[in-house]
Order: sequence, then structure tokens, then C-alpha cells
Amino acid sequence: MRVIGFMKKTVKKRLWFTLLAAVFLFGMAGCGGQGATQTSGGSNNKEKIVKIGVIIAETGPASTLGHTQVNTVKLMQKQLDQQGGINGTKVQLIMQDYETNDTKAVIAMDKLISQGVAAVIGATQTSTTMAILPKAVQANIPLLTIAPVTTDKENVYALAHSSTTVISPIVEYLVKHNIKKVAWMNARDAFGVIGLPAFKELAKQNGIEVVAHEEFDATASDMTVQLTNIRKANPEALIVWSRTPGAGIVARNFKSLGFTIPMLQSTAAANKGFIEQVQGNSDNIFVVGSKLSVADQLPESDQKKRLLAFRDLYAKEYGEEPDLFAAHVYDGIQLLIEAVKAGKTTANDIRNFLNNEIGEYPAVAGTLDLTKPLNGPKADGLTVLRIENNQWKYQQQ
Amino acid sequence: MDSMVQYLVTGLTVGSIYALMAIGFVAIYNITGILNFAQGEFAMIGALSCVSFVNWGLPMVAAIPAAVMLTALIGFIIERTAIFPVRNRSVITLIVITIGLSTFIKGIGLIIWGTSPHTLQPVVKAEPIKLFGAVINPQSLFIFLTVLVLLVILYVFFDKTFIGSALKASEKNPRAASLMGINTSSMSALSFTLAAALGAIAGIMIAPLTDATYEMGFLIGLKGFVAMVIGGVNNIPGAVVGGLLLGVIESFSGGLISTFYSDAIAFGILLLILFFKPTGLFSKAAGERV
Repeated sequence: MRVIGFMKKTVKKRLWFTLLAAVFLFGMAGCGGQGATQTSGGSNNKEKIVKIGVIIAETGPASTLGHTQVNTVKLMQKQLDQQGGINGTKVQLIMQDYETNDTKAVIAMDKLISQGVAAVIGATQTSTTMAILPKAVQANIPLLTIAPVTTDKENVYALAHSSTTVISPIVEYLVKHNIKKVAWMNARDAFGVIGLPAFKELAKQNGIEVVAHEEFDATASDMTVQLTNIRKANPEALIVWSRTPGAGIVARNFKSLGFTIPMLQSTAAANKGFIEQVQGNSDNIFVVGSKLSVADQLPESDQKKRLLAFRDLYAKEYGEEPDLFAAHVYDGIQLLIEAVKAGKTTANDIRNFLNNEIGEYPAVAGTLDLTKPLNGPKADGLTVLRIENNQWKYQQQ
Repeated sequence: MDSMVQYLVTGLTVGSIYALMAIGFVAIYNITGILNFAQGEFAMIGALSCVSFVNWGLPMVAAIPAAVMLTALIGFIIERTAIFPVRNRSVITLIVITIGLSTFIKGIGLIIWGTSPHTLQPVVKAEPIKLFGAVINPQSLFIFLTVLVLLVILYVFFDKTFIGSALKASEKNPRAASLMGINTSSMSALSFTLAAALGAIAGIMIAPLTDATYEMGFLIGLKGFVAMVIGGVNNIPGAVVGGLLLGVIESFSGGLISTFYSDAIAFGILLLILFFKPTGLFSKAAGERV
């Protein structure tokens, strides 16, 4: 028996070895093939290739944000290939999936640097961006960030709005409607808690007072208690800083308690899920969102053309509309294409170009001013949206 | 005064949700001795599959039983594949497995239904009811009704039917039960099927109030577990009272003290109960516990 058992084990072991060896062989064959095509391509065309790294969460929990970003990268690569190079320079987007894992993002960053990328766009989440940032600074490669970050590093370019920028349309709305007393509610998570400090600063400058502040869990089932407390303070408007589903449940409780004051919600509620949550009961609810969602309703302008160009291009390829996350990636790639058009193909040249030459750039997310310390795009890409017939509605400012 | 009534109403509404979850916890614990931390995920599957069935055009009356049966089937499959093969390991191993299952099911839910919340229309549409200045959502009355009906059904099932007694016997003394001709291994599968169905009912009843997302199971599962511990781990009516109590405590502490600390206060009370009455408020001390 023992002998048979032993033999079985060795057979099993051998099987494993064979399998492993096969896997390795395949892997190596794959790599060899790739390398070969790359070199032959280079020698045949004598084309210059500019490599741009893109670090996105294609899988894992953050993939719901990364999904449209991945689409955008594929779309742009397709467009670049069709155009066939810019002034004889081919732009190659190297996309890395970091699987919603910050450690994998750092490894991907190392890999991209060793492949000689001229710039990196990424990453989907703020924490990941902070993790790869030191690598970019060390290698002195331009890093175009697509999640909200604040940094004063001269080779880092913020393409996503800061919380102060996101809040400014709300403050504008309050000032316009002469609202002086507001109540604030936020979710008890990373996104929820960053809103209030930024708001308080802007509110103070405009003589607006926060008369009540309540917190809730973004996945809690009921926010009636918080709203009952808020009612006692008698505010003239309520601001909610939360992702869904919390954002929608607050709105529903707000309605059933019979509030008549306006409710203003954050960019985290500017999505289809929120509209579905409040459907049929959305008067007096306003959401700060990208003008991208209402591009066709905007008055005629260059901005409208710009937004529609991206939206239609994306919608034609994927049959759905792009979101703000996709817009940040698009803006990043467009900025780098501008650099390549100006003949800048190395990390140093691109950095100098972005820092000193481009100045103000009209991006999809909002105007970027690259001459000053970067605070992300200006608020001109954002607006306070209304909901009508389960669709976003633009209102004249 | 108005706000006091509102706190009470809200507390009972939220508490009834916790009670629904706690019933599922007790049902599995009573039979297998396992704390099933994937109970909240059963609620998620129930609610989201019900949403999907409704979207495919099924009427509500057909979608609800279909979703409950689907979830029960999933509960059965999970027991056969993940719990049954390791049934002879220690209880703690099995509990850790249920934690893993919870993450696994949540991941599958994320892949199938995405992150955005899904709305389920209530069976009966009605305007919120006003009572003494407080607002009551009609759906929460349905949840109360469901809790009561389940209490009666489970009482009859566990105490008046043969299979219910067999289930209880398998937990109390598996060896004696099997000597009496009870197939203890199929009892474990039955308990998971039952708990999954209970979880699905809970999820479907809650969804019109809170909307359904892939992550809805975690928090209500945790609160259901706390409710069960407060009420007594093997006592279904006790768990229901525990759930209501937890909801009311949360709502009053949020209203009168601060919403920033309502969770801390609720869990602080749980700690106090564990210090002074470790078997729960309504559970009789059992002889087999040493």
C-alpha cells in the first residue's frame, strides 16, 4: 500500500512539474513574440514612439470607476492608430491594471518607468495616486493625476477637481438665492468627511452659516433621526455630501418628512443610480455635476463643442455616455498629445512644455491653468443640475 | 415632543429590519451551532434578484417567491460545497468559512449588479402616514407584519412539526439524534436553505426602504448579529426584541445625544450586556454551557 501511495505521489508531483513547465514555456514564448514584433516594427518604419503609461483599476472594487477610464484609453489608442502618428511620432498608451491594489500600482509604476515612458496618467483612486506619486517625483516623470489630490510637486498635474472647486457652484447657488443658514449632512467615510472643511471656508467668506451638522453611514437604512435633528435648527437649505445609496435614502427621508427647503448634493450623487433612487420625487433636489451630462443643453460655445465631441465619440463606440472619471483620462491624453504635437517627446521636454508653455488649457472637466500651482480644473466645467423626468437638466446660471 | 415620537417610530422601523436579520441568524445557530456571517449577503441576493426579476417583467407576486427560492437554492448549494465537506472541523473554522463566503458572495454581487443602488417598488404603494407629528413609512408596517408572521411560522415549525423537532435535536445532541434515525447531515443543509430564505425575505422587505446594493448585507448583517446577542442567541422572540431594542437605542442616542456616537453607544450597550448577562437578555442559562 505504502509503495503504491508513494508512487502515486511521485506521479502527481511529476504532473505538477510538467504543468508548471508548460506554463513557463507558454509565458516565455508569449514574451518573446511580443518583443520580436516590437523591434521589427521600430526598424521598419523608423518611427519615433512616445510611450505613455496609464494606471487604472480595471478590476477589483474600484473597477466601477475605472471601467469608463479603460474604455477611454482603448478609444484614444484606436483614434491615434487611425491617425497614424503625430508628425511622424507614434503615441503608444501602455495601460496597467492595478486591480484596486495600491501595492500593485507601485509595481506597475516601476515597470512603466523601466520601459521608458515619457509620462504617466493615473491612478483611479486618491490613495493609489498618493502611493505612486513619490516614484514619479523620484524619476522626474510628469504624472497627470485623475483622482483628487493636492500636491505642490512641479511634475504632478492635477486633472480632477479639488473639493473646494466642487463646492464653489453650491456656494454660488446659495449666494444667488440669498440663503444664509444651511444644514450639512455627510457620510462617515473618506469622501463624506472632506466636504465640510472646504465648504466652511468658502461659506465664511460669503456670510453663510452652518447651523446644523449630522453624520450617517453611507450604507445605513434610515436617516430620519439626523433629519429630525436638522429640522430643529431651521435651516434654509440642506447640503448632503455622500455617495449612493446613502445620498438617495437621505433624499427619500427628506421628502417623506415633508421638507420644503432645497437640498444640494455632491458630485458623488451625479450618476444614474441616484436618479433611479429619487425618481418621481425630485423637485427641490439639486446635484453638482459635470456639464458633460447636459452637454447638449448648454448654450452654444466652444465648451459645448468640446464636450459634445468627446461625448459623441465615446457614445458612438460604447453605446453609453462617458462620466467625469473618463473625462479626466481623456483630458490627460489630450494634454500629452498637445505636447507631442509641439515636438516634445521626452519626459523632460514634456514637463517643461506643461510647466512653461501651454498656459491655460480648455479641458473637458474644466479650464486648466498650468501656470499657477495646480489646484485642478476650474469650476467652469461643473454646474448645479436639476432632475426632470428622470433626466439631468441644465439650468441657466 | 414631535421629535420624540419620530425617534421612537424611526427606532422601531430600523429595529424591525435588524429583527428580521436576527431571525435568520438564530435559525442557523439553533440547528448547526454556527454563526453565519453571510446572512446579510443572503438578504442582498434576495433583494437584488427580486429587482432583476421585476426588471425582466415578472409581476411582484411572482418575483418575490422566485427570489426567495433562488436564494434558498443558493443557500443549499453553499452548504453542500463549503460547509458540508468540513462539517467535522471545529465550529470556529466553520464561522471563519462563513466570513469568507460573505466576501465571496459580495464580490459576485458586485460583478452581477454593479455598485449603483437598485430600487424595488413596494408591494403596496401608499403615502407616508402621519401620527402624532411623526412620519411612518407604510413599508415599515409591512416589515412589522412580516416579523410577526415569521415568528408564528417558525414557532409552529420548530415546536409543532416533526422536522422542526428533528432540526433542534440535531443541534442539541447530534449523536443521539442520529441514533434516533435523524439524518443530521441533511439537517445542516436544510438549516442553510431555511436561513437563506429568511435572509431573502428580509432583503426584499427592506429594499423598498433602503434600496438594494451589493454591499447592503454587511451593516444590517452586523446589526442583526448584535440584535441576536442582545436578545439571546437561541431564542427567536428574544432576538426580535433585541433587534427592536437596538433600533430604538440607536435612534434615541442619535437624536438626544449625537449621531456621531450612535454606533458607539449601541455597541457600548452590547458590551455591557455581554459583561452582565452573557447569554443575552431573554435566554435561559442552559445546563450544557460550562
